[in-house]
Amino acid sequence: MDGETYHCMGLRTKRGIFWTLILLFAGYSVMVYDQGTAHSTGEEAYTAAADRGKMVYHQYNCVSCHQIYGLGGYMGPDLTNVTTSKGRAYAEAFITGGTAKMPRLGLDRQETDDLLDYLEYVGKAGHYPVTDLETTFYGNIIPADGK
Amino acid sequence: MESSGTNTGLRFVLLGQLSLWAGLAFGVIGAFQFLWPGLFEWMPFFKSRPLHVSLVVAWIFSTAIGGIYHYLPRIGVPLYSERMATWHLGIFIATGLAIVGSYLAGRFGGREYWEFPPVLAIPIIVSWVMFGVNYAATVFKVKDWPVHYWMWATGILFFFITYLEANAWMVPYVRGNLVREITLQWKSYGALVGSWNMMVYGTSIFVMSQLSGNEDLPRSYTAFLLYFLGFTNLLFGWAHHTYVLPAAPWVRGVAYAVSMTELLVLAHIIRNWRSSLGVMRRMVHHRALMFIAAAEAWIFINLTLALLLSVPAVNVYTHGTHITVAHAMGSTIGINTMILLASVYFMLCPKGGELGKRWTSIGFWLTNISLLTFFVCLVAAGIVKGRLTIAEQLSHQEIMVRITPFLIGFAVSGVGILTGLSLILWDSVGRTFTRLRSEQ
Repeated sequence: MDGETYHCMGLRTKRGIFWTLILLFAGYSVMVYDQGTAHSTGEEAYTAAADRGKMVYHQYNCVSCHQIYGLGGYMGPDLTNVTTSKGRAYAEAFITGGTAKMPRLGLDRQETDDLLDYLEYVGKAGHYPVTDLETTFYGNIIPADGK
Repeated sequence: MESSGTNTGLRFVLLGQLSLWAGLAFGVIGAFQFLWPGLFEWMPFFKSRPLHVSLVVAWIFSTAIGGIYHYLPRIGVPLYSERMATWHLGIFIATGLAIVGSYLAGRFGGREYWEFPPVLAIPIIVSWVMFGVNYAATVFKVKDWPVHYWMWATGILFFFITYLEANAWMVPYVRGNLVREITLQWKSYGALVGSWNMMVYGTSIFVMSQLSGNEDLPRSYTAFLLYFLGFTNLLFGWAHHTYVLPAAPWVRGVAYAVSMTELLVLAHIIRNWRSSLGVMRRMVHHRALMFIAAAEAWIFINLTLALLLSVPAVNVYTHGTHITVAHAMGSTIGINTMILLASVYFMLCPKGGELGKRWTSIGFWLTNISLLTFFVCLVAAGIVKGRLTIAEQLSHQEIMVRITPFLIGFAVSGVGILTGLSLILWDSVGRTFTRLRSEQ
C-alpha cells in the first residue's frame, strides 16, 4: 500500500462492470426463484390453516428459539421434521404445556391447530439435518436423495 | 476537515452509540438466558433476542448513515437537503421507538431479525428513499468518485432492493413454497448484510485516506477491484446459508464458486499486512487507528472462518450451530463496530492527539480479548454440536448439556465485551454530547 504507484480504472469500465453485475443479479434472481426452487415437495399441504399457522409462528416469535432447516435461534430444537418424525401429539404437548425452558405461550385451540398444520407442511418439504450424503473431492455435497 | 454548521450526522451517531449500549445490555441478558432460561421473567428470551439484534443493527446503520451526513459537507460536498436529513433522523427515531415498544409489548409478526409487525416496514422504506435521494442529489455533482462514494451508493441502493426482497415473503407465490421462501429469506438477508458492510467499509476507506492524507488510495485500481469483488459476493455469495435446503444443486454450486473468490481478498490482506502495519505505526497517536487495526485483524479471522463455512462439506456440520453466531458476532462487533468506533473518534477529534485516555485503552483491549474468548467459545460449541448432531445424532437436550461449559464461557466473555465497550462509549458519548452542545 505504502509507496505503491496508483493506476486508475476508467469511468466507463467502472460503469460497465457495475451494470453488468446488476443485470446478472436480476437474471440470476429470476432463475433462483423460478427454476432453482420450483421443485419443492409438500406444496399441497400449504392449506389456509397452514398459512394461518405460519402467522402464528411469526406472532409468537417462535423463530427466536427454534429453527427450520437450521435457521433461527438455538435455545430450542430444530422443528423442520418435528411432526413428521415425532408426531403431531408430541409437538402439541410442548405447545400447550410448555417446558422448564419453554414458556407456556397461551395459544388458543385454533392457533394450536393452525400452528401444527404449518409444522406438518414444513416437515413434508424435506429432511433436516442432512445425514445421508456423499462428498465430492472438491468439497461439495450430494445428498442421497439427489437434491 | 471544515465545520459545516450542521449536526444531523452527529445526532445519528449519538443515537447509534446509545443503541449499541442498550443492544449490548439485552445481548448479555440473552446470553445468560441460554444457561438459565427462567432468568428475568419480565424479559423472556423471545423478547431479549430481537431487542438485542435490532438495537445492534440500529447502531450499525445509524452510525454509518451519520458518518455519510457528517463527512460529505466537511469535505466540500454540501448536502442536497439538510431538511430531508433531519426528517430522515426523525422517522428513524420514531420507527425505532415503535419497534422497541412492539417487542417490549410482545407484539411480533415479521421474519427473523425483522420480527416487528410488518406495517413498520413502511416508514423504514420511506426514510430510506429520502436518504437515497438526498445522497444521489448530493454526490452526482461530483466527478470521478473515489471508491467510498461507490460503496456508499451501492450500500444505499442494495439495502433498498434487498429489504423489499426480504418482505416478499408476504406474496403468496413465495410463502406457498417453503424452499422458495427460505431461499428468499437468506438470499435477501445475505445481500442485506453485504449492503451495510458496503457502507461501513466505505467509511473505513474514507477515514484511512483522510488520516493518511493519501487521496489516491480510494481511487486506485486495487481499491476498485476489491470493491467489485465485494459487490459480486454481495450479489451472488449468499447461498452458503441454504446448502442444506432441497433446492436445485446448481444454486449450491454457484454460491460455492463465488464464495471462494474471497480467497483473493484474503491473499490481498496477507500480502499487504506489513505495509498496512507500517502506515498504522506512523499514525499510532490516533485512537481511530487503533480501531481500524483491530478491524483488520478481525477481517482476517472472520474471512478465514467464512471461507471454511462456505465449503459445503464443512457447512453441513456447522450449519445451524453456534459457529454461525461466532461468525455473525465476529463481523458485527469485531469488524463493523471497530470500524464505526474509528469513524466516531475521527469525527470527534479529526486531528487525534488528545485521545490518550487510559480507560478507553483498557476498554479497547478488554473488548477485543473478551470478543476473542467469546468467538472461540462459540466456535467450540458449534464444532461439538455439529459432530453430535450429524455423526452421533443426539437429541437437542443432550447436546445442550454437552456444550454448557462453552456457553458459560460465552456468557462471561459477553460481560467482558459489555464492560469494555461501556468504557469506550462512556468517553465517546460524553464527547458527542459536548460537541453537539458546542455546535448549537
